[in-house]
Amino acid sequence: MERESRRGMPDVIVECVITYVTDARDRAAISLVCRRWYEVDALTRRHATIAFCYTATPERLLTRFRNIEGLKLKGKPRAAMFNLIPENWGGYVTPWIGISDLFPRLRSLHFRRMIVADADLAMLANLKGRLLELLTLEKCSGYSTDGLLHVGRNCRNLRSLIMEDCSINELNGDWLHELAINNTVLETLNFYMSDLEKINVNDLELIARTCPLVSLKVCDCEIPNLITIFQSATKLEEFGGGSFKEPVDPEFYPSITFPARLRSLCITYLGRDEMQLFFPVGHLLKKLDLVYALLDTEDHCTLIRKCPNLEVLEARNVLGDKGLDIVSQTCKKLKRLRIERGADEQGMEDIEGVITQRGLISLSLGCHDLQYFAFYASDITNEALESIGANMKNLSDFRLVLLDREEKITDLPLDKGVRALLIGCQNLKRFAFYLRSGGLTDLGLSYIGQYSQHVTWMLLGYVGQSDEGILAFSRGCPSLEKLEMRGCLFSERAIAQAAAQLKSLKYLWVQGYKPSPTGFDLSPMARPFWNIELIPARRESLDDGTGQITLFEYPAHILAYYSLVGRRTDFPGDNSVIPLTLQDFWDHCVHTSIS
Amino acid sequence: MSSPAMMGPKSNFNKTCNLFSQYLKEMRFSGDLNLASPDANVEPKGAPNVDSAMSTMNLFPLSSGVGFYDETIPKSAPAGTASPQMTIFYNGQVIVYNDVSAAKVKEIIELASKGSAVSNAVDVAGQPMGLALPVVGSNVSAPGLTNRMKVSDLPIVRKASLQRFFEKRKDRLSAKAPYTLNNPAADHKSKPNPEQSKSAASPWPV
Repeated sequence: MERESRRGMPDVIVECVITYVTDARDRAAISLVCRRWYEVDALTRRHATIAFCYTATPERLLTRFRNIEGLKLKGKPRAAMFNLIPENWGGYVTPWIGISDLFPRLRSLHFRRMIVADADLAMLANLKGRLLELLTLEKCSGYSTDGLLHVGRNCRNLRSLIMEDCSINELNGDWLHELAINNTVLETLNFYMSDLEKINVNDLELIARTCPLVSLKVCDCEIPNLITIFQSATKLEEFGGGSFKEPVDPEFYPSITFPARLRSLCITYLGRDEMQLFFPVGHLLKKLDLVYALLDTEDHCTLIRKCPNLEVLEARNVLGDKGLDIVSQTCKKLKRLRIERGADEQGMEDIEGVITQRGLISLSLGCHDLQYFAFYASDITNEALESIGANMKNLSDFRLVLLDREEKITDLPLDKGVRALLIGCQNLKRFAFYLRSGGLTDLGLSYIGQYSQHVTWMLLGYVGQSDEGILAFSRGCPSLEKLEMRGCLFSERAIAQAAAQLKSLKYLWVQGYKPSPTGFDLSPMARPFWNIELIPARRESLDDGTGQITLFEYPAHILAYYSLVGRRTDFPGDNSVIPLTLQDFWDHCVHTSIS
Repeated sequence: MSSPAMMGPKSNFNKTCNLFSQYLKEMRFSGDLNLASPDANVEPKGAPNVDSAMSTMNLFPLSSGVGFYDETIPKSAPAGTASPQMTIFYNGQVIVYNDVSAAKVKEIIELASKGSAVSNAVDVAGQPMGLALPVVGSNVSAPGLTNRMKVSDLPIVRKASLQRFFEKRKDRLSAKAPYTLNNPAADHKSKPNPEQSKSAASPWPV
């Protein structure tokens, strides 16, 4: 029903202008202006990200955004990356793939932490076939290389196939052969960290010759093959992989021809000898990933000194404070730094490989452009956090985990430091603060609430002292949408009250809390559209890093989230996940008031 | 939501106990089997409430494993215990075994964890059962023992991808030099590597 006498813009102009607005939040705001704009947005939305797959259904997505070209879905809670979530918890791609052909423009699918079956891949290849251009499976599980055969055979227009860090049942390397012989447009091929080792390297070389590869990340790759690939893939900008089972004599490979545009390297099992091979391109590199390298602290220093143009660096904490000094001096353009936790066993990592306040302060004085900084520290002080707050004004993502190996930490609690950091870093959107008992008082926790105006995601570990802390925290954090907590000593009731108080909260995950005998102390957060799921305590065998296996009984998890579509129907049959609904709370109230 | 019986886990536990007795007989174990009052060292603070806690737990399965987290279960056993004891708590009963070596305990734990890996059983009324199998406490100083996790002591977990990398790296190192001093004990999770030597089990403070 059109209204003629409009004072606003004619529709055709709205439709033109809106296509230039791509940010999802901006689009969401536009869609709320009036019905007509809602409709225009719905028809012209090109990409949808469903951050938690159970908040909606494929049918609802189809009704709202029929013309999307790309869809990204995330399934299991982040804790799944740390083996904390039962494998069969949920997050199945099946219903989404089943409906994919009804989206006429859909050509890109991205699944993260979801369960994918061979049948799903077969169905996708069948329904989308030549229309599919980008397929990304990140940290997914449940499929085998047979499923990939369908993709290789039928999706001949696939420009990007990413299967990084997946749990794949590898039967053989035929899938890669199918891909190699059927596809000539592949630009991105990534099966990094997915343990696919039965591939035939000839197929890889064929792809390097016939496809315009821009990014290639594989599992194993020996130097001779590396040389061949680098010679053939002339457009290559990013390479990941490596193995180096045979010792390397750098004299034997005087000059590898590197692709002219190579800017990103990720060499697995990179040792001191192999490292030298890459010195000639160090100054060109923008991204360097040493998380899976076999280098000690000094080696890291040597290599990083050759890379003054790095924008992204990832390493384990064997990088050490010394390494951070070098980074600070050399990598002035650094935007993203991630320092993973190394092995704890004796002899497996350099003893110099620890990150402390010294390295952090040094880094803050040199790398002012850092936007993402995540690290595992062995020691910390308030001063280090203050220095970060004073110097890293562009930080949008800050994650600190305080390791638990050292008995004594120089300067706890970190109340003052976290306050200074949050006040200094006004652009902070994502924040993780994982400490230990005594790491942050209730006052410190209230500071986090008070000073994190724009933070949308938070992970808190071992913070606060009592329920007062979490309640004070939850009076702030106006933008907090997703909260994860671990090891905090809050009662079930306080957690529920906090969840109810946080104005923007859409998703909550908690492990380790003071439970009530019945679980119904969660009732303060019971409300419509809010799903609550519990993962009861379970046992896991844990390698504490020395090869000794200890069995732990993990405490229960609470998972709660807003959903438009009610309780999910695909809970695992073994009662490892238990839903709580408003009705359950009501029944419990009735039951307890009667008895 | 009010069925107190715990039949599923009980039958699992009985099965495990039978296996355990068999195992002990095979090992020609000659320790005492006592039904004793809970050993002071490992008793949870709230021990008198164990029964009621258990029956409360049964009302609502998600509270399984709940209520034990305030106890001060010693993380590491007193060193130099002359005759190491193992104490099993279950459903108000306590069984104490003397002279149980670390290696035996490790095997028992593995056995028990295999038994309890069977998914939770359902009781007569069809109520889902929580994981209510008790944790085996021990004051033996040895690795591989089950620990009830105190909320304040959840270990910082590793990313699964890094975990896999460390296991592979170990395999590579031992393949290249199987007899180096620093060769750590075989990781039970990875495929058994015949070249890896097991180092002496060193006490790991848990």
